[in-house]
Amino acid sequence: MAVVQEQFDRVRGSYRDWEAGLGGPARIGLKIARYALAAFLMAMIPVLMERGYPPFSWVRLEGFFGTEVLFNTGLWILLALGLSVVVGLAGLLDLGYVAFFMLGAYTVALMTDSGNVGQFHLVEWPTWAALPFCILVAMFAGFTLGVPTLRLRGDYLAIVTLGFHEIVRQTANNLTITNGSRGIPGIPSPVIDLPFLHLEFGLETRYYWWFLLIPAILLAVLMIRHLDNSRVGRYWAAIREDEVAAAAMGVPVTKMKVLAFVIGASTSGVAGWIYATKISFIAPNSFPLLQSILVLCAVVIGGLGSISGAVLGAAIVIALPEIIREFSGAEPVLGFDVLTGRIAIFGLLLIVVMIYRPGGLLAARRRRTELQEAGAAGAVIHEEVVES
Amino acid sequence: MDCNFGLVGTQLVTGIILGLLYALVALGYTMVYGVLKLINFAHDAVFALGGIAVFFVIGEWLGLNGPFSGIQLMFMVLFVLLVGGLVSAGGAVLLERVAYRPLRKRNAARLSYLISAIGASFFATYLFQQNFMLGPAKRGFPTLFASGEEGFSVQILGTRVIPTGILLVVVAILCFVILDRVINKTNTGRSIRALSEDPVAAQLMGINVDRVIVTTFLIGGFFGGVAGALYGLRFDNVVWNMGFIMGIKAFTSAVLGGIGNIRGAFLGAVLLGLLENMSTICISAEWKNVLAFALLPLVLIFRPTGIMGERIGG
Amino acid sequence: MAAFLTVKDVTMEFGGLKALSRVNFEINKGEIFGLIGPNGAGKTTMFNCVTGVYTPTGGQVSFDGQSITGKRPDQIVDVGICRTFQQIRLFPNMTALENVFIGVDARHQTSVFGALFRSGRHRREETEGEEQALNLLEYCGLRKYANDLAKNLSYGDQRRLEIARAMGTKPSLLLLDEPAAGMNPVEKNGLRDLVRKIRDEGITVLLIEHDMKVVMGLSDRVAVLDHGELIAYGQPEDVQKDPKVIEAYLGSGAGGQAAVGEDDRGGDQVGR
Repeated sequence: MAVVQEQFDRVRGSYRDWEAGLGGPARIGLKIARYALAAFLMAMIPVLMERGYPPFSWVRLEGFFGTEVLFNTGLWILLALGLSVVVGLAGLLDLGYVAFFMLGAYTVALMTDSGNVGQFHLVEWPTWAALPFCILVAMFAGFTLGVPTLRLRGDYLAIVTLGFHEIVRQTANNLTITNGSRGIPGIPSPVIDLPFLHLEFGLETRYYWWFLLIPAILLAVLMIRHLDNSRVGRYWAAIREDEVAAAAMGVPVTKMKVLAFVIGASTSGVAGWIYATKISFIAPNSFPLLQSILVLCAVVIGGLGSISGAVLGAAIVIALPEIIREFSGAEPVLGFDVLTGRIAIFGLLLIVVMIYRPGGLLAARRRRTELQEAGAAGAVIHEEVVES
Repeated sequence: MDCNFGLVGTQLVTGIILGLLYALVALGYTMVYGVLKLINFAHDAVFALGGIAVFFVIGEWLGLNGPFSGIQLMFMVLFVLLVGGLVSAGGAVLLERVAYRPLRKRNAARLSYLISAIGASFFATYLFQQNFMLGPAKRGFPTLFASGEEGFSVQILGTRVIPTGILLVVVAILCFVILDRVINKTNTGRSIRALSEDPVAAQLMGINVDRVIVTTFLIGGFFGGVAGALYGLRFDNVVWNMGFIMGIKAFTSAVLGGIGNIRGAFLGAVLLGLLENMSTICISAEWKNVLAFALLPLVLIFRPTGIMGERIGG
Repeated sequence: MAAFLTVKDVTMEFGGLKALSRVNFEINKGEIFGLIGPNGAGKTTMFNCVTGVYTPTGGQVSFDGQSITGKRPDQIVDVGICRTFQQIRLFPNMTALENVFIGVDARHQTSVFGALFRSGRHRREETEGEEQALNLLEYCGLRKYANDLAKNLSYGDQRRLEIARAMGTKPSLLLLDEPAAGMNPVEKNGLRDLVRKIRDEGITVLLIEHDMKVVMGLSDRVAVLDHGELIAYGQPEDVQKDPKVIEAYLGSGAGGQAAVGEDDRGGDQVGR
């Protein structure tokens, strides 16, 4: 496996070297072409799926079922990308990430003409107008959570973030404005109303929802790529390696950690908007704590800090169990109910991954060697002596 | 706010009882933290395992169900507690071996331990949810004491305290006294304290780190299992996710009292139990859990060393 | 010469323990200043007080006219002070180049937005930064290790890399905590040359060292700490002969004198 990885790195390295040799405009053109190609390929997937083409037909991802799984996987790719920034790039364990997702969803619910008689809203704006606010609310929540808590040590931070998810959920459950546990129905779907194109995204509009996810995912990828290969990305890496040394070299540690939270939360804001408007009904029970842990599983198992890792992770957590379930005909496999048992298996996988392949299956280059050995900064039993 | 002060007596009593249950679980968190400086996320599953073991061994396989009395009752109580404690102790040792030790040997980064522990917790918990284990619903727990009107009860502060409550109080206090003794007066306890205060020096003094760590997990696990059994007795059921909320509350208690500090864990837990139940006098019960979740960050931000500070011996 | 770094009445208490007790000294611009003393004297604590890792419980530290007492470590770097660590704290899984780049980044201004939108400043700082980092590696004799992971470098090279990284922040005052520890005599000579080279660039150096040959040979002036107190302060030759200093190191008598490195031909087993 390591050999394959090395070869892949080499090919990628040569491509990058070649690319670096080109002029500025050529490079930008190439970049646009790459993303356009990705968008095109991604757009083709549901088309092929619906018509029952391979390779999707081999795994029974066809027709409506196939495109639903695709949509959910895409949504989770967005979530995994965001959490990857927090856990993978900055090294902060966030166990309550879905709280931001939930806040995004509730934002669009409360800002549009929801409810059967339009009663749950602060304002009544068109669905698209709510989108930037979903992102802002999620980011603001990241900021509010981050500032007081990011000075805490890793394990404490983890529990506090867990608590944050529950607090958000319970609050939504108990407030009247959010209609408590009954949730908010009738969230209007976005409508595209242009002279040349009129699209209403309803539950029946098949894979048009996926077409909304494509730009979201690609933008998230672009954002992560840009940040990773910059001063910000380097600072995050330094913080992961050794916070104290990083601070001593001028890295504003707490600011950078809060930034990771804020940036990471942004994708879940978008995801919340998309989810709420597609399903058109949200309730506190739609966002159990388990989901936060599952996103973590996706990121950790798939690969920390890498984009392909986030994609693989989402596929494993969402698509794979569905495929297995299809094959087993919704019967328990080896005594395990597929949808609840998968979580037990993921739990086991977390342990296995931590022991044997700490960066995850498709870890970013740096992360592969990192989590194996901590060195002075991260050691658990052997505390460093700073005195002389 | 609509406060019903007539409930003070009841909530005081039930709060303390509840707190003592939290205390037994908090022990596991605080002890492991003391020697590893890490939260054992998977302790919630260890706790649940105790109750679930009793459910299976005594309830399902042996088919024993009360009510009992006299010598039989005493024996059953001991049996239940031992089954719960021992199975959980075993589970905790297994947990250490599988999810923690390989990482320790590799000198892994902190994040790895946390993720591994979460994995262990979720593996166990969702295993419990499968139909061949507990299944998704609450399952009835063996009854030991006669209930209802003919059952024994005591009146404290105007509250009727039934045998399970009394048992809980007695067992919890007993456990703490024993543990306090062990930690402060025995060699094993000394080793644990040494390791938690200065790992490097402890090793140089010849302490077998691996053995001490296993012992710590064993002790914490045993008490967690006893707590699981007591939970089952008190609430008359076990359910696959019984560990989850309990874990958060127990951990919060440990931090509140001073993580790594056994007496602190006891104090913090009782305090939390009291706070939780007393709060229902004025606030509706739905917000109770939010209290525990919100309390933790507040403590961590304003007094991170807890009420009694961080030394294991208190 | 105006004092560059002033340490005035600095006291550092941990619980009941006084790690530093009313320490006073001044460093002049452009000099190499040695801070010595037996183990546990409080030298690294002093560093930590200057660089913001600790806030002194008493006294002040000022640099180039402004007070820096209680500033955060990253703010200290802004002011122009940078340090290395007694026990090497490199970023082990980053390459030597990336390590130095972090130092260089301290003087950059690319913000999140710049990074996100690939602003002109970002692009400029990336290219310039890489060049600066490579130059620093060259300066410290590590150019060939640029793409090697820091944890794979030899011990001596790792110490040099820490210095290169600190230099990246363009400090006016460089604090070196036992830079020669664990080095063989050849490496130590190389280090001495490097420190002199750095001083010749105009950077002031504050040095903690146990190796007497190194520190006496390099320093323009020294300060001696013992049990948190300043017991001697001045020219190396005078301090070496100070009976208080000799006693602090090894007890009085000839043994002590040798310990303080009076005999320059004593090799490097002195001063422990």
